[in-house]
Amino acid sequence: MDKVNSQRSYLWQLGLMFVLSCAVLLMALCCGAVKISPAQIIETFSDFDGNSTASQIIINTRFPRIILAGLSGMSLSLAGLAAQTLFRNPLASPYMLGVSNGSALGAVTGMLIGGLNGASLTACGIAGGIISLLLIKFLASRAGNFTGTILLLGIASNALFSALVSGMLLFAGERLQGIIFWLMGGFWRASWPASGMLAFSTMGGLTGMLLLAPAMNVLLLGDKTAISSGLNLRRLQLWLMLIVAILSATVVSVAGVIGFIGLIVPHLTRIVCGPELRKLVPACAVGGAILTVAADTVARTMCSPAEIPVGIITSLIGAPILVWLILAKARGNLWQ
Amino acid sequence: MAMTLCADNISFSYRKNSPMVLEQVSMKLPPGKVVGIFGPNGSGKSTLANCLAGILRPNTGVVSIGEYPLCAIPKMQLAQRLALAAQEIPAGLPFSVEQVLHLGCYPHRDFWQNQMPGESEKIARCVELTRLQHLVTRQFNELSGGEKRRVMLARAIIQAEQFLLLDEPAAYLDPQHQLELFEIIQALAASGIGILITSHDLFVAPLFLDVAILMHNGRIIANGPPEQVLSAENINIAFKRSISIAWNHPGGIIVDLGVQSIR
Repeated sequence: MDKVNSQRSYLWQLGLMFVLSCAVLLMALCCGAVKISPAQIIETFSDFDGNSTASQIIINTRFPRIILAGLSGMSLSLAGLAAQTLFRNPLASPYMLGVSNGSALGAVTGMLIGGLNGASLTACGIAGGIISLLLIKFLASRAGNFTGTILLLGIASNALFSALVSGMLLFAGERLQGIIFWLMGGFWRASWPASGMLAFSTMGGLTGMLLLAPAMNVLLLGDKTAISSGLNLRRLQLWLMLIVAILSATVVSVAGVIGFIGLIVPHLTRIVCGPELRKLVPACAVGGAILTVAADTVARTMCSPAEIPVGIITSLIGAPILVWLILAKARGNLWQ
Repeated sequence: MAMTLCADNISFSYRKNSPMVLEQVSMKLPPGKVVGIFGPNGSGKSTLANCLAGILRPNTGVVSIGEYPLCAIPKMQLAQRLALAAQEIPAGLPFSVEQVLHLGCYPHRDFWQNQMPGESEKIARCVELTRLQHLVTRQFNELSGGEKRRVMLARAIIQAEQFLLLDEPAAYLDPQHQLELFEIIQALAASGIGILITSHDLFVAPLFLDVAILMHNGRIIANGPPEQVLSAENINIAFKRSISIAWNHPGGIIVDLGVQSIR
């Protein structure tokens, strides 16, 4: 009976999130430099060949951007959940593996040396993320592959790559402003190809995490108990590291460094749906999409027609939530 | 057919060129028996338990169930037969006690992790056996150290069908719960499960054992009936103290710590 009630309550929670995501989607389509009414939106989606200005804005500008923001939010929150489970640390974020700064280093190198943009810039970012992951994995294998070791190596490489990115900015010359704006994170480069590529990695990460969710639950019991429960610990760690790396590197390479989503969304959804990872993974993906699309809508409408980097908005929203979470943890009810 | 968990001449060191933590250790854990490993801190008890659980792989020698070496048994099959209740209690575990207990069924479930037939009944029986009824709906994080240990023990009981390896199971437990724990261990052994406990406690544990093993510096210095193994002479070698156990005291044992004067 409890199981039935629990499943019913989970379906209600998912339904609520679906309604919330529809509301945020509608708001994001309506708001912007040009105001568009819900009737125009319905008209656009019922007649794709519409040549009105509103249709053009929706199809070519806002919709790809919303999709990109939603997929980025999904990726970052899933990567955050994977990192928090991997490190058994509720304050871990996808950026703790050092992959995001590795990815940023790859992208900035591509911009400065090759003058790259678009898909080639994205490829450079992903390559930087993968190389930094391989470096951490190599060093971790030399030090016994312990979870704490991987975390410390991630923090060290994060600091190193961050310093290298800052150092490279000294040689950016007239490109400095553009690169800094890119590093702050934003979705103004949204396009259907970028969304397609991000959709590919996000769906891969989501599928992987849904398959790994039961093992991730067991991982939280500790390394020894997990191995004794039949888990292949090293393989699970590697899969989770790969998921964190690919999801966060892909987002960084298409949208820059967007903070706090990966840290706070898993906690917020955990409060709603509970800690069981088979329920938490899909809820976390939807929650990340909602929060990021909402933040992007604020970023592009607050000072319209100018745009604020979305990373600033997510940090402004995320920092107070993080403080609240820390205070809640101090009171002992963070994960309840 | 009931099989025995055996360590055959195993040696182990954590790093190359570092001192051996286990040296040429051989022992057996038969089904339905309670075997206790005693020794001072750092004598190799937990390392031996981890080798027997397949968590650490010995540098030399073999650990096997029956004629099958552990490394030849698929991980999930091994987990169905054997469970370790580790000394370390997981920190920050976000689950309720009931959810933790369900995790004990992980190796028994199918690929999609659907609940196995009779899972809820199995957990209910274990909750009754381990007297955790009043804790089932509580959050694991809210429990005391002793209560957490009892929950982790129950999780291991749910997992294992043949062998239970309990690393310092009585740590954090008050005398009442220590006695309860050993009563549970005896009931499980009576149902055919082979149980190994590691302990440095000489006050309660020796009463409930079929076989005692005394370790010192990574070697077994005595192996056999508890009264013979935990003799004053052997304890003096292992613990460097004149401690003796009076075995025939009505209602339990008396441990003479050999302290000349307390005040």
